[in-house]
This record gives sequence, C-alpha cells and structure tokens, in this order.
Amino acid sequence: MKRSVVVTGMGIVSPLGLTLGRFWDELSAGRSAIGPITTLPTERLFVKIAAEVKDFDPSASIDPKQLPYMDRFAQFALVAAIDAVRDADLEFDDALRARTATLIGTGIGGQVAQDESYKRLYQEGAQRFHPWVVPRVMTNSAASHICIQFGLTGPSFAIASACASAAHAISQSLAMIRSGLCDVAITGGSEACLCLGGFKSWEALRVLSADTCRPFSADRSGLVLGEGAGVLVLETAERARARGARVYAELLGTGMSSDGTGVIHPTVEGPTAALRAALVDAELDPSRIDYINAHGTATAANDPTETAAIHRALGPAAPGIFVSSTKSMHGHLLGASGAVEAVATVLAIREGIVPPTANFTKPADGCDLDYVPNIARKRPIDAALSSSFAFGGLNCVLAFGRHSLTA
Amino acid sequence: MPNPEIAARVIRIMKAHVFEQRPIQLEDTVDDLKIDSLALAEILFDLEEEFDLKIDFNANRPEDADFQFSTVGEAVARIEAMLMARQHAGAAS
Repeated sequence: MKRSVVVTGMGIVSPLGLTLGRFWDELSAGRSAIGPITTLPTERLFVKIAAEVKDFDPSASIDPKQLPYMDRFAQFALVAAIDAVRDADLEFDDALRARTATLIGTGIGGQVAQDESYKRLYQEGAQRFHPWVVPRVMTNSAASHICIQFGLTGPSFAIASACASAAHAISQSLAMIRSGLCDVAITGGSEACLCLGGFKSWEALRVLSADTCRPFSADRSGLVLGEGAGVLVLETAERARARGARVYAELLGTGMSSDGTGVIHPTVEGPTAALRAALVDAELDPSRIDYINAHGTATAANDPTETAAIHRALGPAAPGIFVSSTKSMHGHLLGASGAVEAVATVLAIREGIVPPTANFTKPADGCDLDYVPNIARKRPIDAALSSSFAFGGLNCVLAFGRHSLTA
Repeated sequence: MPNPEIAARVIRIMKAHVFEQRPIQLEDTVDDLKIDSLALAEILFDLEEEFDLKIDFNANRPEDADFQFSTVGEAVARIEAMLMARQHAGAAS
C-alpha cells in the first residue's frame, strides 16, 4: 500500500508575482509577464525580451549574514521555501527536522555568480575572485540554504535534468515519502538564467522568440526565457490529517522516461511513455484527467510532438481534456519550470479554474487539442497532469488530484 | 559566377557538417547533403564566424529567415550579397 502524499504548502517567486495570490490572479486573468529586458545590458543581445522577476528584495526575508553566500537562484529558492513553510503552517522540532527531505532542482545553478566572476577574470583582468564564488555557483546551494534556514537535518541534494529538474525533484520527493525515507519534503526548483552568458547561450540555439511566447499557436516564434522558483511542502496524508493541515491537493503519482535518442530534438515516444507511466503510477484512467499543464514551449520542436504524445497516451480522452501552457505568461523557467507549473496546476485544482494559453491566435499545424486560448475556464478538476520535457531527452510528468476524492 | 574564393570557404564549412565523404558541388541541395536543422544551426554559426556576419534565423520560423538557400550555390550567393551590402554600407559612411 503506497503512502498518500499531499501538498500542504506552496511558495513562489515568479515573473507574475512574488505571492501565490498575485501569481494566481495574473495566471487566471491570462496576463503575461513577458516584456523588455531591464536587468541586463541589451546592446549585445539580438533578442531583448524575457519574463523577469520584478521587485525582488532578498534582504526582506533572508538573514544578511547568509546573503553573501547566495547566488540569485538560491535567493529565489530560499524565499519561496520560507513562504511555502509558512503557508503549510509547519513547525519543526528536531525529530521532524531529521525526517524532512529537501530536494531542489536547477538546470545550471549559480549562473549569475559564475557569469560575474568570469567577466571579472576575462574581461576586466581581475587577479582574484570573491571568496564565495564556489558556494554561490554550486547547484546544491539552494537546497543547502533551505536546510540552514530551518535547521533541517534530513536528506538533501540538488537534482539536475535541465528543464525537467524541478519535476524530477518533486518526483523523487514523492518516492522518498512513499518509501518511508522521510515524512515531509520541501521540494521544487529554481533558476536564475538571465545573465549575459546564459542568455547568449540560449540565443545561439536560435529558438528564442523576439515577439512573445505563443504555445501551440500558428504564429508561434519560440520560447521566452523566464526566471524564478517554486517550492512545495509535501507530506503524508496521514501526517497532514493528524496536524489538521490545510491540504491543497494530493500528489497522486509520477511518470519518468528518457528518449535515449538525441540531445535537442524531442521524440513522441519519450513524452508518451512518461505520460503513460504517470497515469499508471497514479492509478488514473485517462478519462479522469480534466487538465494538463503542458510543457508547451512554443517551439516548432515541442508543440506538435507534445500534442502527438498526449493523443497517444490519453487516447480517446485527449480531445476532451483542457491543455494549457502557462509558459505563455511566466516564460520558460528552465530548471524551475516544473515547480512553478506544479503550483499552477495545484491552484487550478483548488480553484476549479483552468488557466489559459495566452497570446494564442489560431492553432499551429499538428496542434489540435483544446488549448484554452487566452481566457481561463471554469471546470471542476478532479485530476490533472503537469509535464516537463528536457533537453537531453529527459521527461517527467506529475499527476495531482483533488484531495477530497481520495481522503 | 560565384566568387571562387568565397565558394571554397562556404564549401569547406558545409563539408565539416556533412557526413558523406564526397566532393561538395554548388548544385548540391540541402536534402542531397542531408543537412538537418541541427547541422544547419552549426553551419550558420560557422558562416557567421568565418565572414563576421549576423545571419538572422529563428529555427521556429525558418520560412521567415532572410537567409534562405536550397543549394550550396544559393548559400554562396547570399553570403556574397551580405558581404557586398556591408561593403556599400562601409563606403557610404
């Protein structure tokens, strides 16, 4: 018998806002946070738009003694984690600290710190680095700083699978709670990729849109980079019930796969396998799925492939499912996207409202599902999937459900 | 007739991204040479580096790109035109 795992707290640092309430208001209104880049010098950029986190003040919640050790991505993660723990109304004692896992995904880690230090070295000819470049850059620093904040002593590490990092972290947390390795997990992902080196690397792939993000839409022109973090508090349903915690949703299952073919081009088979595996793990018939928060990058490579995978995995149920890509509003948060989109999916279940695919005009070739164009729709959601498909061909799908159905 | 020196430089770049080991002709098409979108991304980068040019090309909207070519000869002609445009822009300023 699998232990049931529920979501009892969430925190977010996103281009759409720094609180769950703001994030949801913007998402459900179909408003996009994509705009001109303000945090980088743009003279040397060919693409000048992104979804930036605005008005983020790390010193408002982070101990000033810890800040010098932290890259922007770790700051995002820690602020989201502080908010998630507060949201879950979780109080730690030493026993719980040892039984809490902290798993945070990131695509690259401390890119801003690395970019700044290399600029000093190669461009400015500096002879020395700040002493904390290594602790700022390392991928596990987000997870470590969350542990330090709350004195957590359970298992903790970073998970990296490019754009599926956060979803894989949440999956691994589910597996660890189910197996009894821990009782609570603080999990999600963070990415701060809007530094000159990071942005130029994406530009070179020739997949960035200079217009906006239009997933599944005929006039789509590519993805738009975003930044931020999402953190979820997961715990056993039994524990949540015993402490009288508010439950957002149940994490019913996960499906993972790798394409095993190429680094850049996705397959239909890999995402299909992950979608199917999530349904099996969650013990859900495709007819039970009301909503899919799609990977939906708005690239020529992803959109038709993902649509085909949804058809294959969900069969005759596919046309009746609402499928939206919230990347149209918060951009592509890379290693954080799986967590921010998991938060969007859980809020959709809780509110009974499906956030739309913004910036949609008419369907692209090979894209024939109901993408909830531009305007949110009311629909009671019993079960929903959130998909993340990464460069490197690594796929992860999370299945969430309304808790009242299973409690 | 294409400038032989520019044609040779373009062909050398193409050859590095084509798996078939045979001489490349100006008449060869993208399909003949089995240039897929990944090889194309590398070829465009190498051409930009070789000739110090900026080639606008979004892989999601290849049909909108300035830089269209179906044969190696057409790629050479595009490069020549871009170099010419740059020269004129330089002379005018």
